[in-house]
Amino acid sequence: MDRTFTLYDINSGIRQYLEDVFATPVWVQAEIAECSVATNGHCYMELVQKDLDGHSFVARARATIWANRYRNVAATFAKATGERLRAGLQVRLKARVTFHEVYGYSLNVTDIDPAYTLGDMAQRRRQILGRLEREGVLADNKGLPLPTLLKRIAVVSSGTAAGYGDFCDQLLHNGYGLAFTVELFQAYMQGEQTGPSVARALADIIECGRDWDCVVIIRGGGATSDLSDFDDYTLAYTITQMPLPVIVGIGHERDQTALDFVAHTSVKTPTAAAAFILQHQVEQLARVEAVADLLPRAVAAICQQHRHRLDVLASQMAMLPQRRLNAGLNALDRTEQRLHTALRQLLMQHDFRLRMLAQRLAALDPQRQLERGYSLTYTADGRLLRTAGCVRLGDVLTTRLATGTLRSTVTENG
Amino acid sequence: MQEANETMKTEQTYDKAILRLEQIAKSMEDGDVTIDRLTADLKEAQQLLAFCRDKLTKAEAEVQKLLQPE
Repeated sequence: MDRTFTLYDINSGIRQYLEDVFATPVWVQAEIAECSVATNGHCYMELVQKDLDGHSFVARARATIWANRYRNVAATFAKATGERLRAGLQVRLKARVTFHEVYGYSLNVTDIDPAYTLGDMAQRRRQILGRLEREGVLADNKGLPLPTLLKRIAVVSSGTAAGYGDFCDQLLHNGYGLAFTVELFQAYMQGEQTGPSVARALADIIECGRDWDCVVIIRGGGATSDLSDFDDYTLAYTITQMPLPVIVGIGHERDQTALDFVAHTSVKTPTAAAAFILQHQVEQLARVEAVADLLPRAVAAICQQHRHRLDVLASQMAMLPQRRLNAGLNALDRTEQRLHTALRQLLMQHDFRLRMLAQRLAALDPQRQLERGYSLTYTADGRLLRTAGCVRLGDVLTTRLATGTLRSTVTENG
Repeated sequence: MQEANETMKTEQTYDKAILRLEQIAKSMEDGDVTIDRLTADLKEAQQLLAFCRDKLTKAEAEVQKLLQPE
């Protein structure tokens, strides 16, 4: 009879075997299908590996990060990637392969490599952008103003790429009748030479001596992994230093390259790049038309304003000289009035003075003294007599009274 | 006066004319203008008004012509 094992025998045998084979932790790459953190702080995950199409699983396993490791691992991962551990992420994790007789097979995770998740491409991209930022040039191209018109367009692409055809088709057969000048500057759009080749084409655009409104870098199709060819420091730096706005359409729905961050404008596809330029032109056209509509009204308003100003001046001219004349007449009237008043006052003053003089003169008249009883006595030779000693006995004196005169002879002097 | 007309023909602009008009109006308003100058200023103002109106009308007509769709 064949040997019969107990279940425990089998399971412990598997455990023993696994412990022998995977004696030390190993690095495993997989996709997280499920991820949850229990209240006790342990993290339970379901890891999967899909087939090349990504439709069905080729492998699946449970994994655990114990609470004491999880806090540290999750924090490091989040800091490096900006992401928390979640379903859908591709991860490279360090794990011990464990097997428990009751609970079965599980991976005991002790570390996760963020670089893997970020991808070599993305990590390189961050390094490039970080360096450009430190150098202070990261936003140089973004800071350029978009010219009012985008008519003369220098395109960097591979002439055989479908993307260039799409771009030209979209742009040149636009429904607005807008004309463009498009010139292709050939460059490798995939492979190791991509960076230097595109940078060379950008230099050619400047060195050719012709005037351009903008530069467009496009490529068509290609595997997503090829995008990493654009994560080139020299190329990214060249773009930041371009004196023309650079529009890139090399991206993918989900992935971006360093170029998307340094270019003036980043769109997903060549068609979208053409649409962006068209949209800009249409907006400018609309602005011009709006101004054209506005112009007659604006001109009419200006003329109206000036006409009004002239009308006001004309009405002032009809009124102001008369007002000025009236003011002159009023001034004359006032002056005349002042003159009259002054003359009257002058006359009154003179009249008063005359009266006063007359009074003073009247007071001095000798007739008034004679009438009060005084008399004037003269000697024979006509001198007015003031002292008795001046006459001798027998002198004839003449005395003037208020009325009439007397002749008398001196009989006594003493 | 003939000299003034000559000057007006060769150098006069709308802006200068309207500035001078404002100046005359202000001096009349403020009573600064002397009676001796009053009629001379009024004559000048009337000439300037005619000049400005003529300029404005012509400019308006020209603008209308320019704005006509071809």
